[in-house]
Amino acid sequence: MNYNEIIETLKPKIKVKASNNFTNNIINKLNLEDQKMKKRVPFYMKVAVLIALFATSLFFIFNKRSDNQILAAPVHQILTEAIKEIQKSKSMRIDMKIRTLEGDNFELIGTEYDFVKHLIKVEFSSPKKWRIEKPGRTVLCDGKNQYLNIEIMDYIIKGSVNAGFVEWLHIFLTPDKILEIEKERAKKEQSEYNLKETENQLILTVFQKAQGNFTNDYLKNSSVIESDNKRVFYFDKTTHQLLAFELYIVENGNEILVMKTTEIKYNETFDPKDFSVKIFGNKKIKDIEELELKADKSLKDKTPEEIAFYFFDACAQNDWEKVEKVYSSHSFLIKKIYGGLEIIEIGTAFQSGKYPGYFVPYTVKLKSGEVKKFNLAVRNDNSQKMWEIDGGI
Amino acid sequence: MTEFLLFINKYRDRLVHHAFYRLGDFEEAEDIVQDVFVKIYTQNIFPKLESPEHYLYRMTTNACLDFMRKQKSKLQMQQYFDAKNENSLENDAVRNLNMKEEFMRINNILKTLPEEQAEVVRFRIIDELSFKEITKILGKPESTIKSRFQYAINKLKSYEL
Repeated sequence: MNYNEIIETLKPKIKVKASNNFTNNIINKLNLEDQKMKKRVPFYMKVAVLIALFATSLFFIFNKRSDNQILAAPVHQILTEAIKEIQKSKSMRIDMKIRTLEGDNFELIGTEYDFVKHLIKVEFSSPKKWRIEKPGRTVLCDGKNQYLNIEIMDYIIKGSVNAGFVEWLHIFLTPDKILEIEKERAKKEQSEYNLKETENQLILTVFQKAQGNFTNDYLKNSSVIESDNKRVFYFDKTTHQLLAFELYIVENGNEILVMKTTEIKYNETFDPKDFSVKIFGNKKIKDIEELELKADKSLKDKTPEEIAFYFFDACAQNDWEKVEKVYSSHSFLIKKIYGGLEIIEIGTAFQSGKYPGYFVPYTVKLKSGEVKKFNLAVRNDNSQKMWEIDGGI
Repeated sequence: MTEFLLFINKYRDRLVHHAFYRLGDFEEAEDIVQDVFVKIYTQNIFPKLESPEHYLYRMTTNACLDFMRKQKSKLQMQQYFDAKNENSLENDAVRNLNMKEEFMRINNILKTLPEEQAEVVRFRIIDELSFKEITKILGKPESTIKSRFQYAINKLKSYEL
């Protein structure tokens, strides 16, 4: 390589920028520091605490080993065996129920919702084929592309094999990775663990704190990552094969079951049609790129509130070409419900959790006379920095 | 406080970029840079800074090195990167994956250099800083910085892509 080639090769092609939450997180950290300062314990209290801790540690040293020492090795070993079992299998079928809304995206979880049945089929072939479905929404991957079918829409959206149509549930397509992550955490003791043994099963319980910025807690407990949660894995005692999984969200000290596998089957033979877009019938297929092309560069510099106003104003005027510039996947139902609405109020945008966009509170009066008050989710974290409506309708 | 927020906004992208191409992990990089700003504010260093850019780069670099040292060995560091790769499945993966690949691509080349030379190359090419600025950050004579850069370039001339 010559000088110029070296410089060109080493120059990053991706410029990394701080996230939208960056400054907010610093303010949160500063608030925490401030609280710590206020809670600072006087010296004599520290001495008393140290003496108590020393006495307690002596008790444990002379009476039993610590729980962590007992747990670390078996947890690691069980997870290693379970990963091997999954990697040996040719396919997996997972029947599960999740507290969410029918037809809504695969990320949404809420303790206030009823359970909705989900079915996951994965064929560990090369390339991998899979399908995840719930009432009103199905995503399948035929090895080359992902296809999203939302029943109320009159077309299917086609994306690349890595498209994010199934959001968080994606991890169930690589269940061995879930266990790998737990194994890694176990090794670093990043979560709390509890291991129980019954006659036929080993039950591993993991506790983890919510991740994200909750200065505004709108998103707290709305997805798994953004919740204080407890995960329970059931393994066969002899083979260490994963038999079942449960997920609880911890809310106000109560553990609420939000996800539970009802059956896990290994090495089942699936009908090839399960992974073919033909299963959706004659619906037109639109490429996600095609939907994204309608974005309008003049909207780039708008604030989240202005984008919300632009969207509702376009609905009010039944101007669907304008709507398409910020909301690519609108359907005939959206036109029917939101067309001709009246804007009552657009509030101040806020951020919450790990969501990279903003929530804009709004109140609108629909043509039906119903007054709707909710938060519109808008984001512009794509490479073009184009605004799009992401939810909250 | 407004002044401090403006100060953060002025430097945050450059420092996160710098920390990311040190660690290869966006969340850790942000966390480290945020802690640098918190430290500057809580220790009341902020109003007294004469040359904030250099100070911030130095603090961020040291914090990244401390973080990496805590991983103890190269093997553990590799396991850390692998684990982060897996964890990224939980986040919005595609952007993270592209960034991670870019980090791995550059880091694989820089790994062939002695660390003191790689450090100068990082500042010069990845952070696009001048030799004068690097001199102030590393506290070494400009001639040393330039010769380290030159040695690195000479060594990389024989590197095959």
